[in-house]
Amino acid sequence: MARAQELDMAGVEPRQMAADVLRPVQNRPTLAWGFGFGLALFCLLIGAVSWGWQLYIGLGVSGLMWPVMWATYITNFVFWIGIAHSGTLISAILYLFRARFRAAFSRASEAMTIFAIATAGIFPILHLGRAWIFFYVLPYPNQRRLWPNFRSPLVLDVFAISTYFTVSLLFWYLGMVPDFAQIRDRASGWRRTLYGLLSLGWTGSERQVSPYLKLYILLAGLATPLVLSVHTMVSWDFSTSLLPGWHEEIFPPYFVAGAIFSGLAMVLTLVIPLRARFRLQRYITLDHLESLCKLIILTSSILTYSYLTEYFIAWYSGNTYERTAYYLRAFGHYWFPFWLFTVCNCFVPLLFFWRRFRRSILAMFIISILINVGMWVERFTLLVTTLAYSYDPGSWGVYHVQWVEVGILIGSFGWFMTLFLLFVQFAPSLPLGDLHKDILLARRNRQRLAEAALLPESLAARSSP
Amino acid sequence: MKSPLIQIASAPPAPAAGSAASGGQEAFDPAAGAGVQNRRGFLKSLGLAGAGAALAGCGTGQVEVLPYVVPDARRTPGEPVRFATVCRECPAGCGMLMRVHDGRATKAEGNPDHPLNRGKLCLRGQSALQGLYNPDRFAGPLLRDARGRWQSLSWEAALARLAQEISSVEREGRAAESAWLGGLENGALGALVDDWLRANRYPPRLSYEAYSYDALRLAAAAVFGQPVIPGFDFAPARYLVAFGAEFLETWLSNVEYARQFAAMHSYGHTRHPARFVFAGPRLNLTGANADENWQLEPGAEPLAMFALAELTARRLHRRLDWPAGVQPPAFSAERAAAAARVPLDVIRRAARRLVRHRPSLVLGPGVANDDEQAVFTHLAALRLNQMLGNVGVTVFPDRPHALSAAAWQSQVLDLFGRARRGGVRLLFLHHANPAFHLPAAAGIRAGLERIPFIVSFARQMDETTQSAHLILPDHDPLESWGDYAPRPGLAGLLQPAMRPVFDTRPTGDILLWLARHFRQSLPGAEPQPPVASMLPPSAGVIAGAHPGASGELNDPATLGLGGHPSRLAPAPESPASPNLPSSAAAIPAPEGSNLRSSPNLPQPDPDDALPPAAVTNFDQYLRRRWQSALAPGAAPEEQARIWRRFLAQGVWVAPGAAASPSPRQVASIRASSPMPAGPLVLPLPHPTLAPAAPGPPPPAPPLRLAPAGPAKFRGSGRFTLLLYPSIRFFDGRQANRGWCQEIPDPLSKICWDSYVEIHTAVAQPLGIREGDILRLDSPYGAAEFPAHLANGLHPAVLALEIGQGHANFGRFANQRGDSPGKLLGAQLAGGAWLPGFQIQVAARRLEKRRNLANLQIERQQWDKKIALAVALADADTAAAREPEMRATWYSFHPYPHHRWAMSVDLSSCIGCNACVAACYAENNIPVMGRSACMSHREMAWLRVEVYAGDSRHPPTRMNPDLRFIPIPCQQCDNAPCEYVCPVFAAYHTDEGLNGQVYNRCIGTRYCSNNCIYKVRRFNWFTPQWPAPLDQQMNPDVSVRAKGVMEKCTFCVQRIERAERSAKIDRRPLRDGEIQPACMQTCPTQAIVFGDQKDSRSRVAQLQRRARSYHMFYEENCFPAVNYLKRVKFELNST
Amino acid sequence: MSAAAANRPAGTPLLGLAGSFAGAEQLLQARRLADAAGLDSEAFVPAPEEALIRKLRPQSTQNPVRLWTLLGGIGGGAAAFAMTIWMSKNWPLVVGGKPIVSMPPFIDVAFEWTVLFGAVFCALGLLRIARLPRLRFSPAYRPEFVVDRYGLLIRCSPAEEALARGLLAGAQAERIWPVRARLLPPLTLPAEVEDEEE
Repeated sequence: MARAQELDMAGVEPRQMAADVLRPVQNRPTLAWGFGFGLALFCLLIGAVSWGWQLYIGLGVSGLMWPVMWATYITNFVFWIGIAHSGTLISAILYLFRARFRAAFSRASEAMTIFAIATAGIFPILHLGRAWIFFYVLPYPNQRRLWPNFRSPLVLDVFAISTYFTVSLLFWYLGMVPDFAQIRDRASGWRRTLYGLLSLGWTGSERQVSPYLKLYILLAGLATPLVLSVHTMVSWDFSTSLLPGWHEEIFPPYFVAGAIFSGLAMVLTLVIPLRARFRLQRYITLDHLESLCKLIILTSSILTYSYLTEYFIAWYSGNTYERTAYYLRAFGHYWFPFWLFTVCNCFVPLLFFWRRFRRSILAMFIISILINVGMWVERFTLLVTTLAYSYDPGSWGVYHVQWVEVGILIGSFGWFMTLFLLFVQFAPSLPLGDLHKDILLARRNRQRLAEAALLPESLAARSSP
Repeated sequence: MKSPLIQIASAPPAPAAGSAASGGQEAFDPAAGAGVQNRRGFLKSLGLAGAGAALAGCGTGQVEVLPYVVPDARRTPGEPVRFATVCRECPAGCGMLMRVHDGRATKAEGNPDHPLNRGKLCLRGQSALQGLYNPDRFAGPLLRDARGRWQSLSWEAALARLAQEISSVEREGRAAESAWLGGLENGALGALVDDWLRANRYPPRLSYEAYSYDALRLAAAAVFGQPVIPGFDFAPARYLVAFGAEFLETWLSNVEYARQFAAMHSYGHTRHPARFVFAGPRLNLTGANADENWQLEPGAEPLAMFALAELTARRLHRRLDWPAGVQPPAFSAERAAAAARVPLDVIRRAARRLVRHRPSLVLGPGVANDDEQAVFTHLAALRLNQMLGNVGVTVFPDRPHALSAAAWQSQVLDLFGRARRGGVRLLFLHHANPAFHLPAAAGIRAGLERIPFIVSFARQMDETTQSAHLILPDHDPLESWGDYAPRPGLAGLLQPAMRPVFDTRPTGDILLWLARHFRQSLPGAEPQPPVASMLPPSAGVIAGAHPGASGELNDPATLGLGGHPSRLAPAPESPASPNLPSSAAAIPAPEGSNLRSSPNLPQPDPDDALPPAAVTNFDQYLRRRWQSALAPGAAPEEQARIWRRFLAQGVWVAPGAAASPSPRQVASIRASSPMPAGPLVLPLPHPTLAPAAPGPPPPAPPLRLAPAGPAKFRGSGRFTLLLYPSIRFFDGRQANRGWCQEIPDPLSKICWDSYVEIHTAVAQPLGIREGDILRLDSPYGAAEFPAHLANGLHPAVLALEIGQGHANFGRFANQRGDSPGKLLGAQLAGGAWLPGFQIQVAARRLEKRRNLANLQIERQQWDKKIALAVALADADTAAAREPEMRATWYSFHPYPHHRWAMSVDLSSCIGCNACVAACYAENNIPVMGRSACMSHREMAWLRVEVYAGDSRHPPTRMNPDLRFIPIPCQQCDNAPCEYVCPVFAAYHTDEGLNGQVYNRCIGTRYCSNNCIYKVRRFNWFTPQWPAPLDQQMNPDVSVRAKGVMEKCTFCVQRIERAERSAKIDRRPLRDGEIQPACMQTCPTQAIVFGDQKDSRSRVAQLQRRARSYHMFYEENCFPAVNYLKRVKFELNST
Repeated sequence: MSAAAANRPAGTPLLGLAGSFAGAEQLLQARRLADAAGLDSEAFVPAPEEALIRKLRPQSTQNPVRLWTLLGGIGGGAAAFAMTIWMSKNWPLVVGGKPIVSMPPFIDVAFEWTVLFGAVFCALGLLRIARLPRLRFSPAYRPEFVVDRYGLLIRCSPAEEALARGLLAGAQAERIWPVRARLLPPLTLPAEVEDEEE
């Protein structure tokens, strides 16, 4: 069924759309952008100083302790990896499913994916006791014949994340090539050279478009299992361990669902200001956002179901270790984060069952922030409570966040926002080619409706071919 | 540096270098005051200067060379050697072996030949090394100037200053107003001091011990006629009742008692364990090992003890006859029991068992409540033992403990009372710190301030020495010669394990120097010493053979040789006396030799102006004293041979002495001497004892028991404050050691802090939470402590650990809270003063907090299978067996040679934490400090956890059911830590160890997360060892850098060493040959290590026991450490 | 004279005629006409529509990019297996009681490398087949081709120019211009179409 907003696209002129979308690329950055970029750089600086301090003194400056040896750094890692997931989901999986609302935010969410991986990838290095020899985990040829341990989930992570990053980068970059060609054609001077190089000499010739389309669908096909595999492997960091609270077979689907859930929320968080700031409401419509809200309801429900399963199994197994771990997760020292994320992830998204919330930009934005918070806290609770209350009660201990970790968390947002702001300023933030297709589709639909005399009056009046 | 020199960079400490240089220059320095340069000394100096110049020319910064032109055949560089010595950390006097790596003492271990400790050491003994290498030790003499600041000065100047002061005291005619307050020295040093004091007509010395057991001695005086501390043997006891004696912690000889206790009480050592009843207001570590706990109200011990004694007597159909002078209570046992609020049938049951299970042992209160009431309790206990026939079986009044010779507390108070009145002119302080131990109300500090001149021989600053005027730092015991007799017929020999770390001098040398300086002659230092004074120290002090021990010292007729005032004038022709002690400080000693002399001082020089055979060094004094006693009249070579044997052995046991020496040790002593055993028989003290204490016992307080109820203590507060001795700091003397501070209290698991224990049920209604600061008010003062909520004490009790609260005792000890001494009074009660660490206090919560570094917060097992117990009847039956799974998809490890395994018997483990200290020492485990411990960043590879019962058998008041469980790395077959490491830093060796490659580790800490036992530690910071603590490090164990995981590897360095030596000898490894540090030191032998593949090994046998189980066996990790369930008397009984 | 005209020296042989169209239908029509006339043609499309490409080139269902991807994927997976197994045997340490060659985790590595090398080879295949990257542009290219106009270049000899023009006009081309057989200098684009031939 073609929706009204979708049909509205029929009235969009591609040339006008390109002008709208490429306005930031073609113009000098605005003051607001500069301010935001400066802020992001400042946050990045905070993170860099914090990390430098940690490298200099040792990991003791963090709140990490025995027995909670992983906490915010790995939380950040899992969180950012999770964020990364929706980007590929929207651009690859929805592409395969031919979902029509995909194009509006596929580019932004792909960029989000790349930057989120780039952010997430820092954390496994950053949390190392001896970060300067992180390359020991790589199978690089060396005279000492020392190789990594391929049985370790951490090594699998290295492969999964590097692959995910590479494939996502290819997908993102190759998707932008035709748009770069447009920028190239409109630009002059150094921009022309830069975008000329980036566009690889794209002309839209059928010789290029034909393999390009094939590549796109192949990459989408390759990226789709990758999306599922990456968070699966990240979840193995936990589920291959022995700890009650980590050692669970439900983790892979549960992590993937959670990742997509948080990623969708992050897309909302990023796209809502982007759309307002760059006046893209016409291309990223309320209908599009509403579709995301519906997906959020779905993934939230999967997540809630997973939570319930965890507790059910812990109870049903009769295993004292499991029961203790889950009891203390909810009622131990970390009760507040537990109930916070339960509310944020299980109950708050239910508001989207009401159309009013689905169509209110403000509500969507607030809820998306709450989900982001909830998902971060969920990972935190999952990690920390499990470690704090593992097998031996005599080893139980409570972790507290220290300023260095807060600084590094801020730094990670700074890093992400730096990259994202560079992206919205210097790259096409909407996929012009895909939107063009949507326009053509809308026009055909409109024409078909008009021929059948089914076009609503309001639309007929509004749209002029 | 191409000459065949071996540089030992780490061996010699910097001060030695300094003195080497100065020694070299001094010879040419006319200003050094030597004046007399003989030919030999000149050549010696020349050689030294040349060596120094050569070194300086190299410019490598090396501080020492060992010229191995002719290598020492007995010494391989890198191979450790062991020196036998005596542990001087407490008056118990255990034998110790110091492991020395290339001139550095690196590990203290028990001397296996020593009958007291049989190779075991406690936590404090293990920490002796940190006393040796303590960064807060004095680096040289100090003099306090008029403005109260410490000025360092040379030894020559310091000794001259001392000599000047002695002369002026003599001139003033106030020799009798001098005092020597020293530690318990009953060997050659004690004799030397006595001789020297006598020569100077000074009053006899006071052997100061904070825990002097006055109440026990007074009770023994009433019961046995002698104020001595009897010897105890727990091993034969079939039933044990202790009214608070903390014999597993600090009481008299805790290592010995722990061993005997295990033999008596542990199912691992006996199939018929004896029951142990503990009665007292606070459950200490000793009580935690009891099978039955009578939680008494504070002050109710005499009543309960009376009831027990009376009921036992009744059952024996005898009358409880009290010694003369004791007024027996005029009420019945039933009334006493009611007043003590102990159920009568409980006492009756105990009485029945006491009678039925003989021999038994009844002990009185411990140091924690050593007050007037305790005299009665002790008295009743001793009487009860007598009545039950335990004397001679478990109680030995004829085997008095060395502490019997300690000064009475009233004597110490009296001394400072005189000092306050200006009656003390000169005070010698020799390792005594009364200003810290004794209550502030005792006025110690005021007394110290009135003394015109105080000389302290302290090794480091303490609260008493800070009032001194001159500090002449003594060697550490590990650098010293000496001897110590824990009891008659048993003596240990101290010999230096290494060169002095700092520029210190042995006190004995100083005294000998002073004697020569003043041309005095001391009996033991004479060329032809009178045989009578050559008695071994054991006989000397304890048997009272020295007149100095009796009270008639002030009689000039009994003063020994010399000592006429006219002889005290300094001899102007004395040959370069200030030059003497330092002249050859830098002579490299043959460090591998057992026979090297006191390293700081030269051998007697024949060219010296002194009489040829006069003793100039304390080590010669000691040697001469012992040689002639061990083999009187033998040829010198023979004497030297026996002496060498003694040195190697480190322990001397009088044949026939009931010291139960180890068979090997006896055989060895016998074999060493070709002579018949006769000459080795030394005059032993007769069982009828001479008064041992250096003064008559003070009159005992009136022993009267009020029937109304528990005794009331001074003060009016709601709570009774109870001070208890610390297993980690003893009386506070070990407080300045990182290990002792960082290893937590075994029960509270708190480290680096002082705290007041308050019962949870009392604290909660008052709104007191853990860490809230409580202000305690007593009639004598107020102090503030953070609260620790505990359950093992009577609700009316507040308990404080003795040993913290130092004001000036070094970097580790200072600022650890308030001093409990502020709260105590020091009044004489009935003529005697007993410490009486109990007082009524009021407690008030302040709006302040101090979070405590608690290393184990959770005490419940949460239904997890950690520290399991089994009822005695089931111990060897199938009922004790845990279902064990051995299912895996994969094949089991083949283990071609060995599979190292460990077995820990929870029945034997008493939770003393000695193993933890041994692990710290052996494996270079850094001390992290309080703030790190606050966030559980301690680095202990081995920890001892404590749990109270389990879910099926919750603890009750009468059966707290505390279980201690040492948790090292379990070296799992299918280790969860290994496979998660991305870089193979954790891997499995083919002998079953979980290896950890520090160089490879990148610090993901995943292994620790996945370790279900949580035995891995992470280096959060670059580990710090303030110099010279870094010299203690074991060169066989690498030091871990920041960011690296580390863990227990069953002391793989010891395994490797043993395998290597077995390979060299072409023999198989013997079972028990490899001893990890924890096993080596465990006083109760709870830990057994061995090869699991060898089915005859002890560990394999223990693993087959019915009560063997693996912790968390459900997880299928197949750990190599198995635990044997704690065997309890009827688990469910109260 | 426009800049574009200046770029084209006289005497350069004619490559063909190019036309731009407002819609895909016109482009398809022009393609059909050109095909019918036996003239070779190259289309430019602003929106990458699969359906349109299929209609433009019904014969080009076989696309070598898929083969590149397949080979890359298989090669990557095989390389991963080889690497993990060889490295594990080269440094054979037992961990966690698991076999030296533990296939389950190696499968994960192989999966990742299958995807990674598949994707990389897919991209390489694109570059190879589409002859990308290139810094010179086809002289028929007009920037509007990547915005909203469809284009078709009909290759023809000067003799066929009239036919071609007729074909383009017949397909309702908005503009028609001749293209000279020469590539432009790097990154130099033809200016906007001018109806210089009219």
